[in-house]
Amino acid sequence: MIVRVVGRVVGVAALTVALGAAAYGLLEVGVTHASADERLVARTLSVLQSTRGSGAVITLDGRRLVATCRARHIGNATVSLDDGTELHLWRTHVSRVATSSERELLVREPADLVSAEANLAGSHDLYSRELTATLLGGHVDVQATRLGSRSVYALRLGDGSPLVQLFVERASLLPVAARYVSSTSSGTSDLVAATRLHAGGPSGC
Amino acid sequence: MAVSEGQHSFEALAARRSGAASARTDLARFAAVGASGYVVNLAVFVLLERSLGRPHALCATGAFVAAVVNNYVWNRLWTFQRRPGRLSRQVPSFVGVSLLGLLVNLAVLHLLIALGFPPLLGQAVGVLAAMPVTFLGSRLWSFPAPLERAPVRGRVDTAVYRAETRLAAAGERLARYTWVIRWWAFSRVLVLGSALVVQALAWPRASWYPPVLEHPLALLGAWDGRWYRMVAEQGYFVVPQHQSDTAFFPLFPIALRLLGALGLSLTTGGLILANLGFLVGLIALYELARTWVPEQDARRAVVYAALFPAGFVFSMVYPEGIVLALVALAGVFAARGRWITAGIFAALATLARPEGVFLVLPLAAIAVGQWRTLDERGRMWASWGALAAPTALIALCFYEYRAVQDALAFSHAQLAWGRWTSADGVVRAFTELEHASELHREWLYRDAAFCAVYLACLALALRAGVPKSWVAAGALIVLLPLSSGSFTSDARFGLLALPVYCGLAFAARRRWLDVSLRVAGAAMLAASSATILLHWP
Repeated sequence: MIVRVVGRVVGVAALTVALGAAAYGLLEVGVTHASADERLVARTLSVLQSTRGSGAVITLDGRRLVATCRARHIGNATVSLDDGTELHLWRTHVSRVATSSERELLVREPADLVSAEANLAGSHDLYSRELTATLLGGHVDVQATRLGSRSVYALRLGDGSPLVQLFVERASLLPVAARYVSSTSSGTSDLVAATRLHAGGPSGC
Repeated sequence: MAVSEGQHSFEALAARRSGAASARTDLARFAAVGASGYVVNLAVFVLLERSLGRPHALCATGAFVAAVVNNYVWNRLWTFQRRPGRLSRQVPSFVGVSLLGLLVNLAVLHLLIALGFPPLLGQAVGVLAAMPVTFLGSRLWSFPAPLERAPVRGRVDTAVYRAETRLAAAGERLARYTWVIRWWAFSRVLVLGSALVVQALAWPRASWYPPVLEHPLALLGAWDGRWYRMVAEQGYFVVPQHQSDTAFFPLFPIALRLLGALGLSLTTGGLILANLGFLVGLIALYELARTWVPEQDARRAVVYAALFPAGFVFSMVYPEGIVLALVALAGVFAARGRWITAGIFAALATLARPEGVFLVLPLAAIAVGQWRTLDERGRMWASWGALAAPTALIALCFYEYRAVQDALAFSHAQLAWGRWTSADGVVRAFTELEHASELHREWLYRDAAFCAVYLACLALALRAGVPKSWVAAGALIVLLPLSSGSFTSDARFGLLALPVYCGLAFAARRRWLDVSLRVAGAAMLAASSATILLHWP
């Protein structure tokens, strides 16, 4: 009697494991897998969403600018450039709220200057939103490269027009630099070291 | 009168030869009619494309309709002239057989093109491959013999006749479900027609709709349809702090991918799968309901399921249509003691929708009920069948852990939609409902109303004699989502609580009530189909 019951239990267990394995196999074969690049971007997103930037040193069209940024509300930040320009970031939208006197003297300002400055200013929130859109749009592009002595990944933000790249450290995935290239503007920035989202100190973005 | 052995053999031989000759004649005529249909198809296609300049898809559809009409008329008047029947029965079945033939044709065509064959050769082979299907379907279902044939003994003469003998029983079974097919067709015409009308009128948001001639029925691919297509295209992926596709179970996207490999777009494949799945679901529901309630109640239950106001979802690029079929089939096969099949259907149902896991209750109850009559081997399979649904869920957990490092990703993903399961979830759901108008979530009233209807119908189902285990599974399907803090989409979730339809059928035994429910159901189904874009189901 006991042998029969044990035999039945073992039989059911074996058949159940076989069914589970078959179901797992169906999923492995039937469902498309995310690529290694997509997984890397997802991990970078986690890092960006748990940290914040506080600014950057920008080199844009031959000019050198120091940017600082501070959060106002969720998805809402202000970027101040040392030439007196102030930008307002709202999710992935950017607008200029103050213009420097030096800027007013420019005969023809590049159409995407504000966009370039915003993308180089070191806002983790902006990078995170752009990277999310890139991921959902299926435009992921990741390159392993070097930045000076550092090993980094270059992650493209958006669909490549204009070219916006975020450079993250390979080990920590923390952002260290950004690059912006369009037909009218081009520049790079070194990002100020990131802080944890809930750490004390001045509020970053 | 006594009949000698010699006489009997002679009559059997004569019957065999007569049957085989008849089949050969029918096949030859059917092939000739098919050839004429092919010419009509090409001619109409060229006419529509060159003279009217319509899009290819529309021209092909027009050509297909013209060819089907041509083939039907000639087959009725010539090929199967000895097999008269009512137009109301013959036409839908002939259209169904023709569509099936078209699917086979397309499948073979795409397969051969993928293997590198020239398209013309692929189409020629595709047409030939579809012919046995359409011939046997037409002969056995659309134009069945008026009188039952005398049994034939001995070796059968031709391959066609042999196939016919084998498929005769299947054809007869299919003919028994003609009334189900009619209600399915009627209800789907309401849904698809409403979706087409609002798209043509570009209501309520003109900017949302693609051109109706290029993407007809785009409305039925809206809302979660986009997510299922995303899983089919890209697989699972968790985007931190963002809505992720892990909330959507994998079987339906896998099926979409398979159909995509045949050359169908994901939306087209999804619509075909959902609607055909629903047809199978209605037939399976009928078979299952017959084991619970009297025949007339079972029939009414199927009619109400077809016309159920929230049932437009069964025609969308959603898995509900196939899950209805899988759940009901699991129940039917378990009730018949065919536990391997029942277990496979239960596992597949769970891989398609989380509601499938509740099959563990009725299947376990059926297994317990059959326990004394089963031998050792039978008991083992019954236990296995009852455990199949949770086993599939565990397999899904393993898979999600490997794919996105979160075994419960399908549940955690709900957080991005504002839902999370907690002990006070039901309280949160009622609080949200109380403040629905302030929060501009008036559609919650719709879902709450359906929730109340489902619960009332489940209580009626219990009185009607539906097994408690099925009613309990239905109650879990309706009530458990509330623990995530919202009534949202409960109208859709409850569609898979099968006893609900039997409860309705039990309540509407009076003729006037039955007719009222049918009329109201049809009107509400059309109205709810037209308002899909206003709010997600």
